[in-house]
Amino acid sequence: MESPPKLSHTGAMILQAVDAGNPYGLSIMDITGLPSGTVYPALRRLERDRLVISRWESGKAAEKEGRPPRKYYRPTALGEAALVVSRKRYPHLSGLFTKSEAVK
Amino acid sequence: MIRRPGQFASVWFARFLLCMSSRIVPSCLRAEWLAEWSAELACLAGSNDPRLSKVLKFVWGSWPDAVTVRRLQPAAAGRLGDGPFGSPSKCLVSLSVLALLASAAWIAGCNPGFSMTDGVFPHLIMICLAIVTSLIHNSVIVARQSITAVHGRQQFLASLFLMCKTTLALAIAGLLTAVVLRPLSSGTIHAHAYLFPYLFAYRWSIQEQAKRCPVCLRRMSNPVQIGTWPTMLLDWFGMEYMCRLGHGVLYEPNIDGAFSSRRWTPLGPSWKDLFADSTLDPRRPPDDCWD
Repeated sequence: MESPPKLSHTGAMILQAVDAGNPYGLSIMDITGLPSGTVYPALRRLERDRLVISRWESGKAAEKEGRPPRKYYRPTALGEAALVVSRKRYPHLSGLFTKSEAVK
Repeated sequence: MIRRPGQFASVWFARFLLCMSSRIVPSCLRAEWLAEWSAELACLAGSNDPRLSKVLKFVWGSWPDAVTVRRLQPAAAGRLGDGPFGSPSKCLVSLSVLALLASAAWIAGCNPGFSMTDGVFPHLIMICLAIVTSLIHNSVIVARQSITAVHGRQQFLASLFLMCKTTLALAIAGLLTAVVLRPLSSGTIHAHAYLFPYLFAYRWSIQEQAKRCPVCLRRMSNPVQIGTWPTMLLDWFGMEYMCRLGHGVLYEPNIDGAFSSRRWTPLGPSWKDLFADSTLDPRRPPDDCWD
């Protein structure tokens, strides 16, 4: 397995937010307080580095809630490894967001 | 939920901004990118507090995101071989059309009885200088890349193409500058007002030439980023382009230096089968240039 890349603080925070169960851009913005111009480009870079993968929500699930389908992100195995390294580098990161805080 | 007219206006304006920023995204990714942003925007607009400032602040982020998507997709960003400037003939035709339009705009704004030769001499000198220096610049590039597979006739055609392109580009720049500056000037326009447009056109012409295949003069395509910024001191770091017809590969460093310089690698006949397009092109050079 390739070694995980070192992440910037913002990148690590966004990856932590995704790992904590905030799978789409708006929820990541809500929980991190970062603007959309930071969150979405960071998600693109994380996806390019294969730290997260994206998939589209099913149309039926979105239709039930009366909105268009969203694009969901989740961390890959490499992303999980990068997060472990980042938590050692930024010790406060693991306490930032927990799964129970995830935005519904 | 009942929406106020102001909310409709803010959502409509946000969608308009989103459509504008989506033009930056490569066309192959645009639909998906737009769908993601539209879905998020719909959720934000449908929330309890869809204030205009909040919606606009959200949509404003689509611009840096669009630029990021474009930067991360260099191959999609430039199918440089296609388009109105792809082949040399298309490039010259496109520039000629633009020059004709610029001339028409210039003549339309001239007073009756004007003389077309008035004040043209300094511009002709500028164009001649640009042609000479661009030819010298191009020959230096060819020498530095050690291009040996290009025959004398191809070199002559490349020089001829560069001369025509530089002339047309500078003519367009000069005419458009004259059209733009006419309302601002009270009679004569100082020659130095033309300096920056001419420099811009000259720079475009020589940079564009450097991204063309030295054999067929088509724009190089399929750009691929090699290496990363952290490896720039110890490893090669730059872009790799490939000729659509399979004549060779061009390596262009992001930072030119002693360890990494531009280089052209011709591809031998064993690569021919990979380039299906090459059999369709009637202007393809004879096989003897594949040396």
